[in-house]
Amino acid sequence: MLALMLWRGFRTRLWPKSPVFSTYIAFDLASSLGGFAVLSAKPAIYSSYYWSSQIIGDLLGFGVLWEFYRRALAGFAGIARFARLGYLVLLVLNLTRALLNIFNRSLWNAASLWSLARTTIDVERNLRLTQAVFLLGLLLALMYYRIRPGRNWGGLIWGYGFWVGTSLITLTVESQLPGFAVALGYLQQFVTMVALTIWVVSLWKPCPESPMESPIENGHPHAPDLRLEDSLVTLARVRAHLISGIKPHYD
Amino acid sequence: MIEIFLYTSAGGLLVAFIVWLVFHGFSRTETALEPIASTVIELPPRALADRIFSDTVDAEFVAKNFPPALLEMYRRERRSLALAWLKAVHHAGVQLYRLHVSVARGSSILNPRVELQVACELLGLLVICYTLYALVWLRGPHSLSRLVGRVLSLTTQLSLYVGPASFRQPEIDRA
Repeated sequence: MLALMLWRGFRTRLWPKSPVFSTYIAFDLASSLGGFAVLSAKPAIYSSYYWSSQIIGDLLGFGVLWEFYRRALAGFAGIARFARLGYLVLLVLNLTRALLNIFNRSLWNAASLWSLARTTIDVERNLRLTQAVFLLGLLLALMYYRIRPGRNWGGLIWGYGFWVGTSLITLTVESQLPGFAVALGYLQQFVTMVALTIWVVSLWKPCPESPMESPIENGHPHAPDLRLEDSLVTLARVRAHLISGIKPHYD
Repeated sequence: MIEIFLYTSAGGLLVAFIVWLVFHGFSRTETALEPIASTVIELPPRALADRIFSDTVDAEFVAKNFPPALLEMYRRERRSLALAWLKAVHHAGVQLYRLHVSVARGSSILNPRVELQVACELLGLLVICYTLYALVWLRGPHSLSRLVGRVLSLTTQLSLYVGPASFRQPEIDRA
């Protein structure tokens, strides 16, 4: 499925526009093939190999999310800038929290990153939670501004969101109830197949990536007098209005 | 246990949100800039709201002079009127939001602060509207005038964020 995805992405010419996502898929394919090789050659180190590659994949996932923010809102310059600002704020907050945790533990070295959670499953789960928050932010922006991303990018976002959401659930249950690890492993494989199917279907035909190609600099074409700059001016009026405690009036 | 609940809720919320967006949420999205029919947002008359929500003279008159069946009919009619009035205010709020979004989608500069404030105002308005719907449905339209005033105030503030869109509230004479 991953190879098929790479091929469809190449055919739809999506990969040059999405270097991080294509790297992510290529890495996933390479690590899966590498996993087979490690399992057959040195089964003893497979576990550490698997979890290491999972963590690298999750870190790459943040780049994928950045690309989703960039491409899904490509035709809406103002909204895209606003959303990217939100992404960076969330990222800085998360990094700050992680660094504070490390500092509090007085273990200022690389190994301390590992000790942040009890197991690698917990680390991966925490990364997925952060990704889920980022995805929710993007989806809220799309919903609020009534933007439907193009079929290709929309499918990639839905598939990735579905995978992140379900794997967050399975990882949580797995970390708390290790007895269900085998059953959850099968469930996770099934979920991954569903996400890959969504991706392949959405990449089958090339589609315009966003409904509007260029930002409008001179107001809405159907109502050129309406400017958001006016909203800033009226905001000051509202603030003054609130402070003085004058009751609302109507024109 | 709380940990399991929090993490699984976040995952479940994300999946549910995606499913909802794919099957329902994007039915109201725009594929291109939609024409703005009017930049005038009309609110239902305030005097009508006063009469529906806080005037008890009519109710007392019907209760004193007519049989209980007619009083019940009067209450049903008032409830329908109240719900129709609330729906009109709700519609005005939604119109303002659409107007704002139409402009924001085409803008190359958005002020995050203004956008967040508009979103909060809209959310507040919707919460109050739906609360009022429930209260009117459960307890009838009387004694809700303070909350109605708050709905009108929020709608006015929302209209100010949008900018030059004029805001009209026709007055009617009390009969």
